[in-house]
Amino acid sequence: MGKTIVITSGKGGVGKTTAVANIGSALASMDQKVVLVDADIGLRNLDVVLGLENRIVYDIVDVVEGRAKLRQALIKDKRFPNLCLLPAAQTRDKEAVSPEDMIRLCRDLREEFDFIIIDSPAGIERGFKNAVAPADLAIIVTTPEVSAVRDADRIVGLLEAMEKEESKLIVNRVRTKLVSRGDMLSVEDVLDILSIDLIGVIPEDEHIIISTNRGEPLINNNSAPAGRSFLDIARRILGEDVPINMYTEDENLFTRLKRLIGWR
Amino acid sequence: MGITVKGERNYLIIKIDGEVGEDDIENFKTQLDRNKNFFRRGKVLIKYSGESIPSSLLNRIITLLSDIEDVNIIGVFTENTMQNESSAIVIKRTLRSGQSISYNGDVVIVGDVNAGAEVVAEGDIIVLGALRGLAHAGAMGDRDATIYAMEFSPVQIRIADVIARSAGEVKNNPVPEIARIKDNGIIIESFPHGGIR
Repeated sequence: MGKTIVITSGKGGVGKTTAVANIGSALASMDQKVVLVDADIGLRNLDVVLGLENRIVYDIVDVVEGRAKLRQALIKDKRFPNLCLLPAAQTRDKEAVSPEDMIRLCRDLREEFDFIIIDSPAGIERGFKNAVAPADLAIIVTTPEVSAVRDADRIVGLLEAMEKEESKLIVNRVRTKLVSRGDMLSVEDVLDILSIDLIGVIPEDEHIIISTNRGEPLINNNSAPAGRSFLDIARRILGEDVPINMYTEDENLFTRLKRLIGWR
Repeated sequence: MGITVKGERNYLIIKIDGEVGEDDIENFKTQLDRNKNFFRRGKVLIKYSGESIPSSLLNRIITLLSDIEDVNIIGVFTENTMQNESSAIVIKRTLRSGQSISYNGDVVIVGDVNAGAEVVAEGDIIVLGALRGLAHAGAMGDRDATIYAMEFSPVQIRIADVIARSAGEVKNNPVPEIARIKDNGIIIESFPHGGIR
């Protein structure tokens, strides 16, 4: 039986979709069977970030409304044979699916996959409720900004009210230099406010921008600090005890040389 | 027996009789889910038939209610509070953004009050944690009410009809502090140097 994980945040733009794509492909690279479900109906992105947009035929609403079988709507990622995507519909809105539909859908997916990872939309309305309904574990993504932390706190409260007991936190886009200057909230500050378990810290990394634009997950790139951090999170999800590590860009001979001659 | 809900004038009364089991709480939850609009922006009174309500039960009911928009718990009555004038409720959890507690006595929070959360009490407010949200003590006009917190960094505090806003400064080493009215303004002093009245 698979485990259902929702990745959510309250605030938009903090990195939910990037986290789903990278944690999903990291788990798939560790021989887990993974399906990513885009619950952001009407504003779908996950397919683009994964580079699978051009392969969508059926979507989640087609499955819910009975126009397609679940198997027909699943898109296999060719780079990771264990990874599938269930895309959202773009021409409908959140009302097209109910929390009960999501629970039913994930019950079917559980039979076949080890992990179901749901990409939640921003906000606290229907789309959020749909995404959260089937989840065993909620991973809340925040950035070290007061507004994002405030929204994350609201989300934790709502999850508690729904009696979803297990929540973990990812602090994304941390800039070590700004933190040490006292110009950015530290991970400790964020944990102090939210008081939930930390499952990973992702440093600000320009590789992310490149990888999401190209539609390629970052975890294959060993020199990307964010990619390594996502791999660590996947290991923690699998129950390994991996210490939290703030990766920085590696300074090997080659990169140092590139920097010296002013070429990057 | 169990949990019943009824409307009475301007209030919604949640009546808890005798032993409450898991299925009573489940029933209450489905009732809440079905009647969300009925509860929305409502003022809720909780009446408990026993001497004092178990805090675990109270906390579960508050958690369920906090899912509903703008619902305010304005009082918790037990046999004890009916006889005894001064009363306090103890909330053993952190209040998160969007959650609120109102009570016609003193309120003790064992946990934090986060930014975006609010506590309104007719009496004193004691936060055994960090106060980062809004606290309003002496809400019915008691100017002798106080607000105490282990870590005092609220956005705004109110005592009776006096309002104080945070200066926005960040404290590096938070110490327990207490707020009270002095000469028509709110002063905040470290505790226990200021002492309680």
